[in-house]
Amino acid sequence: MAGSGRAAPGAAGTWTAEHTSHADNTASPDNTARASWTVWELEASVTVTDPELLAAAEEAVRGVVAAIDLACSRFREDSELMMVQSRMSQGVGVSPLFRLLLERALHAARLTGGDVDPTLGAELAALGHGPEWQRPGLTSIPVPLQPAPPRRPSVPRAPGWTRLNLDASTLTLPAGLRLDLGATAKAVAADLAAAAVHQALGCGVLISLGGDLASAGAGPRADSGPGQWQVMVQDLPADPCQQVSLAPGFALATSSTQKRRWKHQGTEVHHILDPRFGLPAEPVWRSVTVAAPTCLEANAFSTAAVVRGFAAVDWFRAEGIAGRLVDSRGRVVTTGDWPADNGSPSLAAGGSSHAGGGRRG
Amino acid sequence: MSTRSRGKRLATGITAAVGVGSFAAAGVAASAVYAATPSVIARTTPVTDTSATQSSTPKSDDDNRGTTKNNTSRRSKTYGSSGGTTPVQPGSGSTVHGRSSGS
Repeated sequence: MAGSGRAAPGAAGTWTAEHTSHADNTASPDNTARASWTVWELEASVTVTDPELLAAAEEAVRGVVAAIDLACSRFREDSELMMVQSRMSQGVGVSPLFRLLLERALHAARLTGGDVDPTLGAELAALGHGPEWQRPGLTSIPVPLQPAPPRRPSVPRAPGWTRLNLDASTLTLPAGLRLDLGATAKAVAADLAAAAVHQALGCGVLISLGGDLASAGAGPRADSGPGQWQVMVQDLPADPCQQVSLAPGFALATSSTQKRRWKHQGTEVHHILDPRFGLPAEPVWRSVTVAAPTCLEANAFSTAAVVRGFAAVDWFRAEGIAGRLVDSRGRVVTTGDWPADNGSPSLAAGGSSHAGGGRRG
Repeated sequence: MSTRSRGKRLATGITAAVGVGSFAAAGVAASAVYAATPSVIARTTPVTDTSATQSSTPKSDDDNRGTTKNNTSRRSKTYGSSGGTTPVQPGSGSTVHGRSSGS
């Protein structure tokens, strides 16, 4: 996401989750088993194709998430990000994991033409989204959309990610820019966790970190042979829902303008920023969901679609991106190979009246 | 060594290091995670033409590696079904394994 939300590495109280026992470890008819817990104020879950391996898988996922949180959290003073932030303009060495997270964030920026920019930390903080953020704003409560966002600057912001220099040993970021790797780091965490579980345990696995899903290995067993992961896509309870089959090895991510909202100077704002202005993107879409080979890519595309507004439909179709976009009235537009949802008012397969709109409407 | 034991050892190695809480220990955990990464995370090339901006952005070694495939866990880049598996299809109506919502 262009600006990470609270629902990202480093959310306050992150590791209170370490003490929250998972209450819904269950085995299903297809012989999968699932455990869930809370992390980054969101639900995390791991589903494996061998119930015997569930405990080890959960432990591995928690370890990956903890390592990433310690690397890039904006919300804890002992994170690597916070420890080196003030010295980035002079150039700092970074750990292998932090470097990987930076590389992935830059990859997301390139994939999206800069619509997902990892250098929006200062802008998020200016909007009141930072370590001082108060807990009441953490919950995902739908709030009315506000027609008048904070005033945009007359001159677009210079892209920050193109000024980030990461060479073999040193990270350099101009003074005034602050990193926020939250969203891409969450997606990378899902990718890494899925890969780690599959590599270590050999089973098929589906990881969910706050709705960002990544899978690895074989899918669950089905009557006719290898099956696919069954995923329910829905942002808020009142939104249209759709159950889809996710092919093993693929990932899914949803970005939302309905969650992680708070008031800034009397105006409701959300956490997905338009990098051009450093302000929340216009909420053309309630939510955007994308399926892609990696969760990083899915997250980058879904976030960028929120930033691009109506123009995202044409972009997705041109690139063949499998996406599901829900507009402010709850209407669904699908792109690429995303299956039409017969149970909701889909405007799929080129029939969308939305597609003709310009960027950000 | 059983797969379960290997998994527990991996998890223990990561969480124990992080649990110490020191920066150095975190580095150990980070290395453990990073070491498992290149072979399992698909490397992709941009689908958007960003040549105008890329020229001013140093590319890391990682970004120059191109796509790495692991046939068992990850697929090469494809955003549609052409040349690969369709990533998402209609649901079967059976047990739901995960939920995707915004965050």
